[in-house]
Amino acid sequence: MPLVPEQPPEGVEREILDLLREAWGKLVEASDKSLRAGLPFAALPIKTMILPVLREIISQLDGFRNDFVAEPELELWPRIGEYAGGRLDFEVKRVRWEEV
Amino acid sequence: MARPDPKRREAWPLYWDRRVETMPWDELVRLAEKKLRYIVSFAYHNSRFYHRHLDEAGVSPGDIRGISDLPKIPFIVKDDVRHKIQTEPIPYGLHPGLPDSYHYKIATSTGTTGRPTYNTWSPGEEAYARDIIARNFWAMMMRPGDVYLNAWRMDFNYAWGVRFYKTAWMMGMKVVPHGSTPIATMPQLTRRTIEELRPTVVGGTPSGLYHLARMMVEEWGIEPPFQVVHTAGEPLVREVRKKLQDIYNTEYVFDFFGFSEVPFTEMSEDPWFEGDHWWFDAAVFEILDPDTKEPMGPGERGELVVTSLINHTLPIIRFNVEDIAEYRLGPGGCGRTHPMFPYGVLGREEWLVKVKGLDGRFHYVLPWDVEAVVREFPEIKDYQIIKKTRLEHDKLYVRLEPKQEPRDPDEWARRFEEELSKRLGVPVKVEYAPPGTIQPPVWKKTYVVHEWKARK
Repeated sequence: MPLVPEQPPEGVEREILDLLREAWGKLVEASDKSLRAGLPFAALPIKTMILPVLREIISQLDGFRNDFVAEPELELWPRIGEYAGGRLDFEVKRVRWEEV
Repeated sequence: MARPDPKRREAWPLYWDRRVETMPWDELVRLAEKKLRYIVSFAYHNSRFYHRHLDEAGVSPGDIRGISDLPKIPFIVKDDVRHKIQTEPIPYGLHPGLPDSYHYKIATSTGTTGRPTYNTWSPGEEAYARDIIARNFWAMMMRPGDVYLNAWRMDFNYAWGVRFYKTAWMMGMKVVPHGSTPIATMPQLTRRTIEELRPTVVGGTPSGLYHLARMMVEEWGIEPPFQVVHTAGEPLVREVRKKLQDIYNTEYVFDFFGFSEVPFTEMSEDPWFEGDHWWFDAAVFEILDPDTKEPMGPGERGELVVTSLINHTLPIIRFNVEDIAEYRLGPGGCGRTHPMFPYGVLGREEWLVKVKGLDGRFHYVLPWDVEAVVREFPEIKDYQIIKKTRLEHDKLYVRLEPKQEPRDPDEWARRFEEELSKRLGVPVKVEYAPPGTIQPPVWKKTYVVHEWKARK
């Protein structure tokens, strides 16, 4: 029995995971659509408060994955103004969970 | 004066929620009155206090069809909450409209004037409160990507600091939970935070931010990075706004008002600076004549009475907040249709000083009248009004502190006695306070010293 289960869950946990993934897909779509429709009151809370929690729960259920932090859908906006030492802007080199 | 980055206006919609912010006034009133009928009925059937309160007044929920019916219900004041409503059982007494399985966040007043009053909210109420704050933050031109220096109290059971923090986070800002205390007690931490993180938004009390501005410019010699400055907790006097705009080098210095019991009464200005927008879908208000308690209309100055359309956990119906305010109806140049308070909320009723003026008539003086004069004189560091009685005075007593010790303190005091008297139109007695006497505010400044209370 590995200390960190790498296999996706089965049974009721699998059902929960599927429901949450479905919700994730719908919420990502709702947030994007709200943003395009000029409705920040819907787009931003979904993106900043609901999606990060949902993604973290999905990752826990799905074998304690650690790749949710750098999830592209959770990227927010670059800061307004400057850092004292210059702009902090670089492309994220992603690490695939399945390959480590 | 530099206008903040124009991308704030261009990159995002003007409104956080354009449907409700620009709703035609008659629709908005219909919506508010529907919510009012609902909440009065809810409070009557669930809060033991409001059930008794309406019964004692001989009012049934069905009697309240609209805002004009509200005076049928006697108003309550903070002391009623403390001594009559939230008594037994401790801590909420007969007040709650929801069982504690719905209570989610708890806060208290500071209790400086007696037993603290308790506030508690459900998750739904907190979410609504954040939405209303976000409307205000958006109106004040805060945007995703801003770095928000949260200089509000984050301690002392205080609800707003955490609520502001969460709202800024919800809006996609990057939040620094600085709190208000370090500005007064650990200024080196504040300095380093500002220099190294370069926050673009700062929120705090006008007196606290004025103190911070003076330290940044006069003591540290650093250029303020803030593009948006939002004040609350104390009225933002127009002269202080001008000073803050100059020192912070941004025109986006805004007033924001909210009070503890109803986190749905927040209102704020926007770049049109026509007044603070009161969100009428979340709370309705009345302005009452301070003497007769009769309803007053737009443009008349009186006591602010609030009814929350959202509070279920601790319903708030006809709460006289004992603040002085006046309103006018919209829409403003921004297109928002909700009522506006052109001068924000002017201050506590107990701060009023009634003085017989040089013209023989009585004048009502608020701290902001004094502030408007003293801020024109850079040699004055701080001031306080001294109240010797509850209301009526033979002259206005003002304590003044200079930046540097003058050669002749008596002559210095006499000079400002004359200046204040001439400008305010009332006799003034200045009490000289040596430098360092009036402490910088850790939170809210003490504008008025109630000597009459100490003697009681």
